[in-house]
Amino acid sequence: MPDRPVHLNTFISASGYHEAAWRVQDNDPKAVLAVDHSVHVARVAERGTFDSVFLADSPGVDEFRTQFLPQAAFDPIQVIAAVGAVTERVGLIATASTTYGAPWDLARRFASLDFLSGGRAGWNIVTTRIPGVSANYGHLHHPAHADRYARATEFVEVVQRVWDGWADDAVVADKAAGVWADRSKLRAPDHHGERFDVAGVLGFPRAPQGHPVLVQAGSSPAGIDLAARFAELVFIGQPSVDEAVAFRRRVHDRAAFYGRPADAVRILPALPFILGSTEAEAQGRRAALEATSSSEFRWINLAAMTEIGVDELDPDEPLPARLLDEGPRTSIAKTVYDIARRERSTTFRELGLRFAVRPGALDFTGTPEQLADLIETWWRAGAADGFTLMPMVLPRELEDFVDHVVPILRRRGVARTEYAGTTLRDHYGLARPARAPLRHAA
Amino acid sequence: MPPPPLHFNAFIWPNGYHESGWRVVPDEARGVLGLPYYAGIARTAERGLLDSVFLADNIAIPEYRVEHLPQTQFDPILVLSALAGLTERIGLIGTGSTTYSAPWDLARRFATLDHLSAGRAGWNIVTTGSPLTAANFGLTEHPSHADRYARAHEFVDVVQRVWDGWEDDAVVGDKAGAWADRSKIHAPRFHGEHYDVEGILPFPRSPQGHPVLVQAGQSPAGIALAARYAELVFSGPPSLEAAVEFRRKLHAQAIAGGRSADQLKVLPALTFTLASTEAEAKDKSQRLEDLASPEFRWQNLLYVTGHDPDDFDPDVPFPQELLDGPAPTSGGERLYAAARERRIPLRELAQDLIGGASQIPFAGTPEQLADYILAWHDAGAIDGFTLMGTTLPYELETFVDHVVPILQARGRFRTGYEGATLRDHLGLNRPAGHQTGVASRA
Repeated sequence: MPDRPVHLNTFISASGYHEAAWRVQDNDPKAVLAVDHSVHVARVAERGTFDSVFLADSPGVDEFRTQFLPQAAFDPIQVIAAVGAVTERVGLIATASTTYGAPWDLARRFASLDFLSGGRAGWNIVTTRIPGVSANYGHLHHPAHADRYARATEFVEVVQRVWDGWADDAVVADKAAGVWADRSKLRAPDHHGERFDVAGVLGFPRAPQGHPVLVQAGSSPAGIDLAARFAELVFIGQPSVDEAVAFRRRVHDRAAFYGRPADAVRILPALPFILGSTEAEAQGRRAALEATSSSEFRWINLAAMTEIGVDELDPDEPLPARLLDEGPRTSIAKTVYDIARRERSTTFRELGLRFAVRPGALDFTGTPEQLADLIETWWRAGAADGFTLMPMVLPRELEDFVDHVVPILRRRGVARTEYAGTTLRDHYGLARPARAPLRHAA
Repeated sequence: MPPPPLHFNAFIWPNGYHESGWRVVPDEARGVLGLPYYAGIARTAERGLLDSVFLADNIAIPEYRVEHLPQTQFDPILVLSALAGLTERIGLIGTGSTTYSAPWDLARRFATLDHLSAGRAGWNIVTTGSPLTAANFGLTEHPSHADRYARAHEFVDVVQRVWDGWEDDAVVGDKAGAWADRSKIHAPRFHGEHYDVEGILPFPRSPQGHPVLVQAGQSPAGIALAARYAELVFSGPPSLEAAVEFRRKLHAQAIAGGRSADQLKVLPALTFTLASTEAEAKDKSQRLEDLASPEFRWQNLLYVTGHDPDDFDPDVPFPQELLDGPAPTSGGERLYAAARERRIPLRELAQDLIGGASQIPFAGTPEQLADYILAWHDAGAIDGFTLMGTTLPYELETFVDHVVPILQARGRFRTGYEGATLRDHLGLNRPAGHQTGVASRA
């Protein structure tokens, strides 16, 4: 039996992870624009003694999406800071890009969040997949995949050096002598690398957690490598227990290669779910969502996820042979191409309708009891340290989870009944990083 | 005709604006590192019905400062985002640099703050004076004053276009149809001399249309930027006559650019120390001065005028070779003039120059301060003040509890908030937004 409780992290999306969630709810579809939505979700999660809540980031949007989905992609670090101000314990994870951010600025933002929240900050490191974003930042081209990951590696290293600019005991606060901090305990990052030059210290001491918790969710080999090297939490989805056990072992092995202990990395696969008090009710709720889905949205969205241009195919024809010959362009496209190869008469639009969730991830519809069973099975089998919940409808699915699944998990000794600590590191049982030793000149 | 309304903006700084503030206040010295400190000040300002609170920004920290002053330079927009949920009405103004930010990203950050606060956001536009900043952002040199202001104009233009990407009524929220009407969405597609910014924000237009634009520059270029864009100006000379003239000229310049004078409010910085008798206030003020460190003074004078103090020797006069060139900032002109005139050691010169050109020092009773404020207001020198209490939260609490009631009793200050947004408080119009058929300025 695992020696830690199951860890729970929930994704805060606008109206739910399902694209039609806003169409089936009774509330005002503009209500997602108010921060109360995110605050409510976080408070429900806190009531369920979750480890953390999590916000994705979209620094750009394809205009077609505005017709189909509520658009409330505010700056996630700011939203999570606002949520932190009115919650006490739940961890606060926000996504930020290493491709479009500046490392000193980003280091400052997450360290600020860590202070403002009393040590509850986490950074989900992404390299940004949406090609349209580059044009918002004045770049002519979206950098290639390999480039983005090389950049990400240096970026994270710089950020960590910035976080280590002050020793933990640098602040003296001697009012009589007029000395606030001991300057000799500062060590400017003074980083001069291939892609970044970052000289100075932050304008405030080392953060409560030392480093905000590092998170990674990229599923490509380069993404997994980045995770093994830096990440303390990994959100990548796996479709089955066996695949998840193998994946978790692979990440642990790779982390060991980088000199890290296996328990320095916790794996929380993405878990989209719909609940009902009976299986039939859950299936009915799912069918209602699917019935109001737009096939137009779904095929365009699937094309985006698989990095196929909308002008490269006719949605009412099967996936073109030349694309199949070329092979999948992303790690998640593989699932889609496998089906397209097996079923040569299925149109791309029909394929789109198959994927209410990201291809290759779990996709649960059922009762609280069944969901608790799934979670317990994965946790006991060593397939997951916990889960990143992707409630299909918000806030309802999360409320039902906290009211009906959490009590079962608590009764079975799987989930915690109260918070033992105060920081995000405390919740996940992650060690607080010591300040890195002096780096030798390169 | 009743006199025009007064406006107040409270500057938030750790333990007060005077460098010795932290040494005389009874508070635990590390308290300024937590959100409760900021929340307390914002709530006090709100209790006093002030228009706004304001956070400055320093995106490079010369290390000498850590010895002398509390260092709490968090990302100001994040602090304000956290405060949004803890306050109801008070305006939230943060500083953002046009030299070291990406316009799409900064537009998103301030529009996010406007959404999180339901229309209480303001952006203090700075071009960043400290040359140390370049090294934190990977630039080999800090752009010149002229360059920075040329970029600032285009930067603000782009930001406004990004804010106008969605028409106010673009969100339809039709559960059986579209969430937004795409014909009411207008991507900026800006291609200028310095910036290329293509796409819309991933959320609708913010409650105020545009967050309030603020400027505090003193140079002719800064004043030109203010006359063109600013709705709130925090600068102004220290004498009454000069302040009247400054405000008159600023209005004239704004009118020449096609703007209305009543859409530009002048709230110069007012440094103040309060006590129940004048003698007590002067003693308090003197005590702060007596504790001040001459070491800090000469280093700080160099830093705030755009120099790196580590490059200077305080025991010799200011280097002649620098005086042959232009001062790096408008604040530096006063230093250069003094240094040309008096070839005395830098340390001594600094002692005589402290206080800064732009701050109006006041020490006295609440009654005297109320008289002082009304005299300036009646003379047409100001629309109000940016309040810089020498100690915080104490000077602000005294202002709210003792100065505000006097102004109210004399019928010169609001007795309740009449509106909900920062624009409401300041009597500023809400910008119209996208005008169909209006060509890009670029």
